[in-house]
Amino acid sequence: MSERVPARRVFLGLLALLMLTSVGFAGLRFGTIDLTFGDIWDVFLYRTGVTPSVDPMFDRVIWQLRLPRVLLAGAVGAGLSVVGVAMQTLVRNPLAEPYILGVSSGASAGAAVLYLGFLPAGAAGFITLPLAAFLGSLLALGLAYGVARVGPVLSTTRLLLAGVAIAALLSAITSFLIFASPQPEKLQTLLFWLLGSFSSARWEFVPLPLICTVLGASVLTLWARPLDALLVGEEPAQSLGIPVETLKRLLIAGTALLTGVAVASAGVIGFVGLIVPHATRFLVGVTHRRLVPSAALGGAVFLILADVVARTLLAGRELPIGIITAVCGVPFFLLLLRSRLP
Amino acid sequence: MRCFLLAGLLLVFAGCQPAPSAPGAETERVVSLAPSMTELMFAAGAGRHLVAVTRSDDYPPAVDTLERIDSYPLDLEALIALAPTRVLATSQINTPTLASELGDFDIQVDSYTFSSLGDIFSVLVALGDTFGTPAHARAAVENLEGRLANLDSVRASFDSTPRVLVLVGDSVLYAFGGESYVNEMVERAGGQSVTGELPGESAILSEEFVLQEAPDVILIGSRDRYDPSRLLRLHPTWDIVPAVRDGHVYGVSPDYLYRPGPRVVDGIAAIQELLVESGLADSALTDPGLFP
Repeated sequence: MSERVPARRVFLGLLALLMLTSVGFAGLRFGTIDLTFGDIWDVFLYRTGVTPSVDPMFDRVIWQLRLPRVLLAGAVGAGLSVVGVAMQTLVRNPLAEPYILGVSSGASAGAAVLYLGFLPAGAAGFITLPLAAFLGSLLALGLAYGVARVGPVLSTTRLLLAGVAIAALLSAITSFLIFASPQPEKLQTLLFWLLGSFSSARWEFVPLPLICTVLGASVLTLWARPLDALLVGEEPAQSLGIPVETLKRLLIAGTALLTGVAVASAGVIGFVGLIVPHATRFLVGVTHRRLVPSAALGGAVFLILADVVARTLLAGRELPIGIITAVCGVPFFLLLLRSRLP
Repeated sequence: MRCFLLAGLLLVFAGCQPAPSAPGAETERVVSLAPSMTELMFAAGAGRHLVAVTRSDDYPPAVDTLERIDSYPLDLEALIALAPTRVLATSQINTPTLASELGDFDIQVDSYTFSSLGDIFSVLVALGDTFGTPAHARAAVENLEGRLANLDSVRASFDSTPRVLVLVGDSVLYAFGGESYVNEMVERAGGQSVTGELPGESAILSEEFVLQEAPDVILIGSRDRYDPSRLLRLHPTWDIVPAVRDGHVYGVSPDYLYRPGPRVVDGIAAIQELLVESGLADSALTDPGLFP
């Protein structure tokens, strides 16, 4: 028995990797321009120096548009899902998700302040939209953290409530900025950004989210046992010798960084960080050693697929991916919820 | 919040459907809730009936002397305080419930939709009829049609029809769909709009769409002269798109594109001038080489 289980896990792991590779190829294959797997292969041969030339349009579409897009969607999907797992464990609440501590509202407010022209001219010069979003998300989380911390102890209930309240405040600020904007023509760009999209994915935006996600998922997998213990409760975890307060702080800092990077890369993409951890839990159980890597893979697969839908559903046009994740993800999740829960 | 954003976005695209209107009288006090309606009122010779316009209004210069009102969101109290007899609206900018809201205050709402150049001219005539300046309005339409005829004759001399992409913004690729009058503007100027087949009035294009359609000319709504290198910086893969490769990326005043008013003819003239400037239309009439 003890030998059969690892074999099964290896099989499942390979299956998951195969799925990831398949959706990755689907991400390269489908889009406005109709391409074949042969075209993808030609571009690959050209880029690896095997063949001297390739159709320049295919090269641009596959190598410069679709491949960074697939990688970024995978990284962000995996990152948000892993953060979802961490948040649900941290606050021991099934409703927890990456944005619950006000990170998305902070990012939106940051982006709105910059993009709608409310920053002084000097500062606006070197702050980009992703950086503004990132700073906004850190500010939101810092505020929630400051409210929740009493001496050395961090109250998770207070953290949750503070996060929700700060999210409401920052959303109100964003709404006000939008109404008072001196540059109304920029609203359209901001709107599209707020709903999330990978349409602006470029190679230079890929490494940071990818590194953060791999690091975050690895660290959480290594911390599987303390996280499992935290799931039972803070006191039992403490009694097992786990430095609960330190763990909580590290979790918050890590999730803030990862969520901030994800939001800065692709805007606010909802539901991934809520649905994927739960769906994965139904499939592989609650043990973090399996849950974290599975959720990462599941999130990557889900968001790459959602992005394929976002750019192929309406020919020649882009849909914000947040619409797809909600429309496709929620019914699937509800079905899963109904079939798996007693 | 997103609903507000969407509504805000719609501000960019103006438009509307004629409502039944009463014969004009000197006692009319009119508030325009869309810049395109203001421009049409002045063109119809009925500008003197206007008592207030939106904060976005900047044309014609006579609007400077008029009261300003927040049209989005509508400052209802300020509107009531102006005691208008009639409000001019467009179906895209203003809410569909406006008529019933203002009906409670005995204010008539005339709401219009513009999906073609013909709509613009017929609204101009209708405004003239409503406000007792039919001759002025018809003369304005004749003038505009005359200018269009001149532009048509220049177009007729074009040897080729450049493929044109009109973008509202250069970062997120907002463009006009097949149901927008902007496609007609491009065609009257002598080009072919690459987004003319897309459904709806607007669309967010994918970068691949632009690569696939390979437009010869890209026009971008911009108040200042547009720097073509900016477009390449934002979309590096477009270096093989003919318009970008050959430097045929131009800014067009957003007022011409977004306001379905009399100045669309100026917009068509501006587009035609750019097509000629690009050398792609190969106009026999305007080629200085043929007229030494």
